[in-house]
Amino acid sequence: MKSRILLLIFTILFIQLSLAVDMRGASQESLIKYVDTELANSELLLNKTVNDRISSVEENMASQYKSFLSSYQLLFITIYSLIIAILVIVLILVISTFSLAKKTQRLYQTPQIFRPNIAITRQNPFYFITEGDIFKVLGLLDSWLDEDDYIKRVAVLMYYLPENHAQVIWENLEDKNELVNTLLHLDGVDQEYVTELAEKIKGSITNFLDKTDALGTVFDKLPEHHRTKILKTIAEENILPKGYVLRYTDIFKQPKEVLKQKLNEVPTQTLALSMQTINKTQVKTILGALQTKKENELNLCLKQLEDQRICQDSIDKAKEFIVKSFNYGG
Amino acid sequence: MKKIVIVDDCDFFAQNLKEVLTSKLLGEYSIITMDTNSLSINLNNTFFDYIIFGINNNAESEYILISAIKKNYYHANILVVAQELTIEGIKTLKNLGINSVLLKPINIDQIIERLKK
Repeated sequence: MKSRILLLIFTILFIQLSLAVDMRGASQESLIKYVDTELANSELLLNKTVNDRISSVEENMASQYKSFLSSYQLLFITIYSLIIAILVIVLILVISTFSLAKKTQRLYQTPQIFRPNIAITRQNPFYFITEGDIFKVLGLLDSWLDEDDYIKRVAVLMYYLPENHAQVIWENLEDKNELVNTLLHLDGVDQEYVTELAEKIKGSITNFLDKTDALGTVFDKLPEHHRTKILKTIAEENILPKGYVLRYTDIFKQPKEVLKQKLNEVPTQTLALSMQTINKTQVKTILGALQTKKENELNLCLKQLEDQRICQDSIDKAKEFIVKSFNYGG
Repeated sequence: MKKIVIVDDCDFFAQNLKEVLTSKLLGEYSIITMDTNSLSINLNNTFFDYIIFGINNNAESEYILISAIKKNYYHANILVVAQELTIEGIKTLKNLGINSVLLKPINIDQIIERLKK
């Protein structure tokens, strides 16, 4: 606005100056004509300037409007995206809540029923089997191998025996897969069957040998010179049944046929363990009594044991097992 | 497609069993392998129809995990594959309601038979 006013003032001053210069020689008419022309020129110039200014302002406003529009669009897109994202999250939450509820319902519909520990609640019909009888029971089980219900008999017995006794039987069995699954399914065994089995075992393992087994335990606790004297007396009086042995070293005094028969029935691992503290002659006696296949197995076992540390307790147990296997049914 | 998970800390055994089962079952089942740690973490997150669980050490932790599996997957069939078992272990498994156990070395046909039972 200021520039317009300045331009107008400048034009009027210019006209007055021109008038002052030209008034002297120019006529009235030419002066008026001149003034009209100059005024027209000034008006044109003014119009042009104003138009230019207006157009520049319009352009400026248009660009500002454009930038305003673009920022508004960006904001709109952002809000729109946020709404979509929130909707998606809500949808996922709803679906997952439903599926979780369904899963939870499925999981907890049937509560887990834990069976009580059988060892605590049952009354043991096999109460008469003591630790010393386990090896006899093992021998008895071997004689039942061909029976149809062999696995069931073993499973029932192991089900009722204390864990340490059952463990000995478990370790000495070969086909354990069928047995373990029979044991796991052993819930509804006929009580009559159990009683009958208990009677069978009781009849087989309690005999004269029980007393001599007890004698063997006492015998091992005696001093060496007493043992020698007693053994001598036993031999002279022929007190024990034929083939009965009191100590591991006594097995070497048995006839070769008995040795062959008994040693081939002993598990190879047990035999190998028992041979850890015997002399070379005794090793040769045992190897000589075995069948070729068993002998090869035993050699392999002995080689494996060479690299291992064996405790005296394992060796004693193996010897005890062999002594009892000689005595059982002797 | 039914889902089988083989859980064994011996990765070699688990992978081999997976390969053999996959070739024998010809795509009837989707089989994955996990170690016990991974299963402990994912107990509630994944659904399985069959669980083949390897017992290697007879450790208490293994039986605790079986108990947790039994609670979380009461609907699933659990087959325990054991290196060796004690009587105590068998009784624990019985008390946990496990009714299928195989001792190593295992026969693959026995596993398939148990799966299809």
